[in-house]
Amino acid sequence: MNRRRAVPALLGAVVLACLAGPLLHRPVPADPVGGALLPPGSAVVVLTLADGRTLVSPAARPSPDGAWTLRRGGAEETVPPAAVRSAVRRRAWLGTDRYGRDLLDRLLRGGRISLAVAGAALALSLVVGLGLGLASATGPRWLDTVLMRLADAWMAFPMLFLLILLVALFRPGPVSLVAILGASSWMGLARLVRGQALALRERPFLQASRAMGSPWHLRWRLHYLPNLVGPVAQETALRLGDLIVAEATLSFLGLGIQPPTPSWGSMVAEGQAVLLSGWWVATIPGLAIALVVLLLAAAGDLLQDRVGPGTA
Amino acid sequence: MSRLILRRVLVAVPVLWLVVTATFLAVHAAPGSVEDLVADPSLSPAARLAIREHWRLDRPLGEQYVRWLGAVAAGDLGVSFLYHQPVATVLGRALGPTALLAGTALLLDLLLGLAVAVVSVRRPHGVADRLLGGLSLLLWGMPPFWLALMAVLVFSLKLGWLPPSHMASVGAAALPPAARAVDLLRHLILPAGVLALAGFAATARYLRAALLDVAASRHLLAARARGVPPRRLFWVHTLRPALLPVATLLGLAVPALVSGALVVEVVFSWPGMGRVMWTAATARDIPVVLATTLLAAGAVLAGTLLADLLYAALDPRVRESV
Repeated sequence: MNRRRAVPALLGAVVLACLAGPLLHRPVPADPVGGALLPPGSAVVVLTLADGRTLVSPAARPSPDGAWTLRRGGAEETVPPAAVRSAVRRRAWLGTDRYGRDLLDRLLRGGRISLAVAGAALALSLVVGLGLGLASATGPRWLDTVLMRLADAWMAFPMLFLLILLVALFRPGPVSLVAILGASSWMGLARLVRGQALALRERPFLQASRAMGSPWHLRWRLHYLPNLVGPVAQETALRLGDLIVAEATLSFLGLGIQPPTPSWGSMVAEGQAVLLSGWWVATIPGLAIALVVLLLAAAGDLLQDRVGPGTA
Repeated sequence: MSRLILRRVLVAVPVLWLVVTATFLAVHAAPGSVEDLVADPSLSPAARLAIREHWRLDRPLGEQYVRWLGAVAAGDLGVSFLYHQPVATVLGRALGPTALLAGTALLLDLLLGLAVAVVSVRRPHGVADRLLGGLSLLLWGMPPFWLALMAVLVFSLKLGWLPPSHMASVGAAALPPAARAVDLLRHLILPAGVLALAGFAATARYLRAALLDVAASRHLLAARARGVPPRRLFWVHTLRPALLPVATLLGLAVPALVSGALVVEVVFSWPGMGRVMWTAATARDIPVVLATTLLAAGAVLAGTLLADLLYAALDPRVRESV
């Protein structure tokens, strides 16, 4: 299939699945006794009992009289027909974790949070980066020097150490996480925007526009912004991948999204405890991160091909 | 050369100062006052006041800042809340393991990158090039912490070839030196390998581009016209000039290496700086977190500086232009 179509389509599918998936997919209910650590693709029987309990078992046999015999946690159990309110067959497509939670459901919900945090952080860094980059390019000389030195100093920090320092000082939570991730990722964008704007300023069409005495807002709307869109879009795609990995790393280290809320990083961390008995718990969310990062990199490449180096 | 060193150091100092200042401001801007971070929350108001006075937190912020800057410049990083030991002692213990891990990983990273690049440019856009390119891209896209877990899963838990964590086996201290070295090496392979695998894609890509660049240059055409044999043409006339930018690459690799080492150390329980910082961050041992952050920033600056100097030492053109 054509890369030009496949990459945006796949990316869109991932985002849509994360946004709408939890509403469409009916998960296997969590049963820590009978449904823990089921391998991917396991077929289970979900029994809803009259007293409101839900039992999950991969090995359940109905009797002709309506009773159910099931194996849960190593023990055989027989449920009389009167106690059973409903029995459905479900499939745990991606397996379950050690609390019996459906991993596909958690993957989709976790993706929603991971993508939302990274997306919000990206929006923040876009605003800050664009603002500071433009201020640096068009403002007085001293401002430019100060801002660019600041960006240098910020970039000298190894990103993860900076993030951990800030999280340790400001306590983790979705909002502070967005603020911290956004505040520590604007430098590349600011430099890019500054460089592009400075290069644009000397181009003949902008000199002409200035010579004609066109007002500054017109110059911005007609000349600067349209020419900045391409490079910024490409940088944005790559930056989003970085932010997703950064959020996942923090959550993996227990410093990001806090349990029981799922995020791809903390799901990998939960899988670390059951690496041998349930390899899929850690493997699957990591694959999801890698897939999204690679898709975003491919999208960045496509954007570069499209806007090309000749626009700036 | 000495002028270059001086200039680069003079540029690095204000950046380091900005880093230190930003950390100071971040600590004071954090919610809660500094004595909440320093002290037990259940202390009496009188004891709190005593702490405030002892740490001179009652003084104006400017004065505190100058004092702190002076202490940091003198190498006094305070006392760890968690270990009740000077921060310098805590970090001193962790420096060796991290240096060993990061150094080995960097070496593997370069060797792997070089090997992949050399094989790739044999036939640009050929099967091997595409295959290796795809593979490195795949490894680049994987988050390092996950790659580390997968390595443990496959090579330690399933195959049982290598130990899954720590720097030495239980009872290794009693072994003879040679056996101890082998034990350390066995523990080193997985973490260093993961770190190198997570980073070599950039090295390979950079070197591949450099090799192709040199291959298209005129001096190579001239060498071929002179009748230089193909083997020598590649290993001497192409590879040597292409290796020059590797010096820059070393500097660029340091930040990723420092961050990557943290994650890998946590997964493999490797007793290095990253693990110390992670433990300190989860326990809010602020002096240790601050010190490791400063040290990491210093390492990054030093790495960049070293790379620039190495480049200048290797390339006469750069040396003369400054």
